[in-house]
Amino acid sequence: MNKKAKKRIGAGIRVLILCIFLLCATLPLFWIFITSIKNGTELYELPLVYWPKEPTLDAYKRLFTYSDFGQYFKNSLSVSLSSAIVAMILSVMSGFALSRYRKKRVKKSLELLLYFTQTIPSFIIMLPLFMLFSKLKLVDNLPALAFIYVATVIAFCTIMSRSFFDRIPVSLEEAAKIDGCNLAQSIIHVVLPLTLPGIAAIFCFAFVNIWNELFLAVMLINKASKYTIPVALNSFISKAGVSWDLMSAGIVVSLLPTMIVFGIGQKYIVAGLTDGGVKG
Amino acid sequence: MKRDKWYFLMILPALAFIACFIFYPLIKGGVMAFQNYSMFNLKNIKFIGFENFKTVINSKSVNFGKILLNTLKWTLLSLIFQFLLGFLLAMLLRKPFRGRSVYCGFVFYPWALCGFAIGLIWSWLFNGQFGVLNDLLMKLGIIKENIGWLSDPKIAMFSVVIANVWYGVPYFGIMLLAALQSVPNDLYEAATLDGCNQVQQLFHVTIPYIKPTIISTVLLRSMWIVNFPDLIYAMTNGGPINSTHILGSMMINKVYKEFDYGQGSAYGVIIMAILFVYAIVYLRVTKASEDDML
Amino acid sequence: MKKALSLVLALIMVLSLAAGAFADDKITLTFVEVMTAPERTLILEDMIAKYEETHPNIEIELVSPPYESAETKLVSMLAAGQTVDICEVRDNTVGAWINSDLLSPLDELIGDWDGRDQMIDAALIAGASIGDATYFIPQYLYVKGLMVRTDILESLGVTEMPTTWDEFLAVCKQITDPAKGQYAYALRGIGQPCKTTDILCATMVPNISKDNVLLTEDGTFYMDTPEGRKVLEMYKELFTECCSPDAINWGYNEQINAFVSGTTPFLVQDPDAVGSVSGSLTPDQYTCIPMPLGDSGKRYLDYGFNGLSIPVTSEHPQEAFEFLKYMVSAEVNTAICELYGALPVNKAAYESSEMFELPVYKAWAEEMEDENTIFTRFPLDDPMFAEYATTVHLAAMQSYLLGQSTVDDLINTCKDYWGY
Repeated sequence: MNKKAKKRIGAGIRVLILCIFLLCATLPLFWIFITSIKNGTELYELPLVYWPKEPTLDAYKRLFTYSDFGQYFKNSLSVSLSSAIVAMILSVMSGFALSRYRKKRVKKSLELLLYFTQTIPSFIIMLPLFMLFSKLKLVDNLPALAFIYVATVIAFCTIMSRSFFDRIPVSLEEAAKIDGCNLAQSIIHVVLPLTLPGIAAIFCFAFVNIWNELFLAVMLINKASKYTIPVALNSFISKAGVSWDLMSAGIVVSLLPTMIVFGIGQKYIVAGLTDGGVKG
Repeated sequence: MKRDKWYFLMILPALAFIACFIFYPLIKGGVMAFQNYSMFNLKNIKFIGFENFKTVINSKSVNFGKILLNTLKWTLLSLIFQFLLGFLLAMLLRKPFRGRSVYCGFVFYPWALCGFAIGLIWSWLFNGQFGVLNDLLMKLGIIKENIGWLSDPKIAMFSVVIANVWYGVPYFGIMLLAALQSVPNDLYEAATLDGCNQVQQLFHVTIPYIKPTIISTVLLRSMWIVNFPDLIYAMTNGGPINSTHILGSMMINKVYKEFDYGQGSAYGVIIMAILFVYAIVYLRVTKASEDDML
Repeated sequence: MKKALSLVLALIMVLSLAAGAFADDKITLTFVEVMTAPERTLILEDMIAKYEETHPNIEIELVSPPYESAETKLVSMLAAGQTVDICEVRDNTVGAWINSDLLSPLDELIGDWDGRDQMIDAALIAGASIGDATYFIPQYLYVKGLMVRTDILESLGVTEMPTTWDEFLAVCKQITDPAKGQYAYALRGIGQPCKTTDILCATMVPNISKDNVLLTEDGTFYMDTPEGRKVLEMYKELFTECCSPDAINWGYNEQINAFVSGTTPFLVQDPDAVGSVSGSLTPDQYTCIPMPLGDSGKRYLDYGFNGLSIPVTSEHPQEAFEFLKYMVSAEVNTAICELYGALPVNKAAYESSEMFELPVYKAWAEEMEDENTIFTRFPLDDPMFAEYATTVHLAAMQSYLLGQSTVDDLINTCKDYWGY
């Protein structure tokens, strides 16, 4: 077999596998979408209805009329955006500092501490946090919830941002120092531009994680007017099971912002390490 | 050394957040593990030493050894398949093609869903009566009889793992793809000149180069999978016959169904202890804590 | 300019103070529901709006935590000392809340409230069943009945309804045909299945205690009797021969779907199931018949209920009780039960509502009044019950039904857990 044919077969296999990945990833969501445009009886009809006879947007309408989904959307967006931004800024600082820290022992124990936070199941801190917030009268307070979310993602964000800064040679800052920059200036003018894509990636990770958090939000929010999207979705499950029409419509809608943030972000994530990768 | 002080000040805000909102409640939660702290008997909250741990480990209703084994199965199977498929996907996406970013958007979106919603979606697909999966397989003639995806104790664990793999592939896909982008092309050229074929390149160039990324992503992911019972809770709640119960789902049950925060926290402490020991051993074995980690 | 600005500021301050003074006049009551469902919350909001119209000094703040975590959330709120003025309580947990001193006794508030006369007897019995005082007023009741799809059974040639366990099993076997996807019984596999299974099976045992459905009068665990063993064998036969194998993982939702689609024309459920099926089935397609009788000619049932309580953290118990009365009044009680399907506690609901005139509810009333029906109860106020229902019994029964353990294993597991 000649080289050209071999190459062609290779490309064919590549396309085939990529298609399989695409199918596996999208079919479940496609089925959820179909479910969301079925009417009530078609949901539970046998044999299964693969395409509704009269597709209806009724579930979406009800989602925004009798469940106040627009409000939940705003709540989620404001909480996720603000805490993701705060987490991003703080983790850039801490990640850079950790990367440049010189005392090995302190550095190592800090690092271990960050990894340790990743072992903590959220259920163990749920009730104590709730008690604390009750005492401080902070239940139903979205900014307070945002603070907690910063805390839940900050460790991972720091680990990530440190890895980005590790790739930037210290020599660059030293050169800047010789040119008369102080620490802040050398970070802002020299290091940050190189890691901008990585920082965007951190933002995406934080945003998506916070957008999807359920258990803490359920505990710390009482009023329906303060619900976040996952809490609202969760409340479509009742004793009688899942209200599938509302649930599927809710899932589809809730995916939009994360997909947008993610769609923009993934370009940076992929490009991030290449551009920043002065050293591997 | 003066700079170190500045650096420490820069780390401080992040540490403060962790201390206030993670460690403070964690200590309180940890204390609960040693208390008789049940919402069924709030008048009688008191210290009972290791009683909760004893009850949990010697439980007559669920075999603790089996729970540990399930946790191991759940974690290991999910991790291996998430990693292998994610790695494969990242390799295939390494070279740019037209529409790559759109493609990425559609392949990576499962990662942007919340855990219980994924559980619901998959239990809907696996549903014995109205599940589309059985119906499709039947139509394609692959199976003759409905498969009890979530009702057969021999299969249920694999079903929940499938859902978890679906959710986790994008994580490895993205992280490894990012790392792959940073492998300099001249390394491959040099390898080709040395007569390396594709497979040899993979093992001698690619993997060694992105090893730090692999090490840290695998460590984090494995800890997250252990702490991600959301899927199991939504799909089987540990059944049938406890065949899918893991430590985390037991913990949710203790809190949500039995209102026992004492025993729930005991599960939490056990999870943390296991994971912490695991992390230290892991870092030691991979000797990664010294080098730079992605 | 400056003057004008300070004037405006002063005005704003005065206004806001005045507004504050008005607000102080208003009493805000926090009401926590635990049976949260999207449609139900809407009805509650509606009823609350009506109440606020006639009580201008009262404002009701409805808290509707998602169903799965609702009770955890409620009890955490109470334990943390958050102000809750009215809350819903469920049969499974109310005993525990009372033991933990979270709910206030209502006897003084009730005083000579005439609303009691409007309640059906069963509600009064249920209301006084737990604790040394009245801690809650039931809103609606659950009693198990055997729901049947009359249309499906007719098409399968069954006209005589089964009255005993033997007949029931025989009919089920007769109509099951897995090849055609036809099964007989919508078995409950998860989510506290013991509340169905134990009621169904204990019926075979002749001398069940009136205080605990799990025990006979002489204190033996009901499964651990000759009749108990016999019925467990029959129950396994029912599962292996007349149920979809998938049913081992069925909860409420799957049971209802199987009943509505006709896959399983028999279903043991509470009357709230009517609320779930009435949207898809016409009244002539289904009804309810009394639960099958055991060999002894008796059946044992228990009252499940959902009620309203006033927690000790309430700052306005008087006003809260006023609202509570409104919640069990004819109008509200009927509206909520019509949506939900469970048996209303207010007598007027049975007279004014078309829904409760349906034959299916007549059948429920007949079952409750039947001379062979004996009411007993689950040991709900025992802290061990939750684990028994959600873990111990559930897994042991699944394992037994799937043939992975023997009937003795099942009996011993449950018996050992309770220490009977």
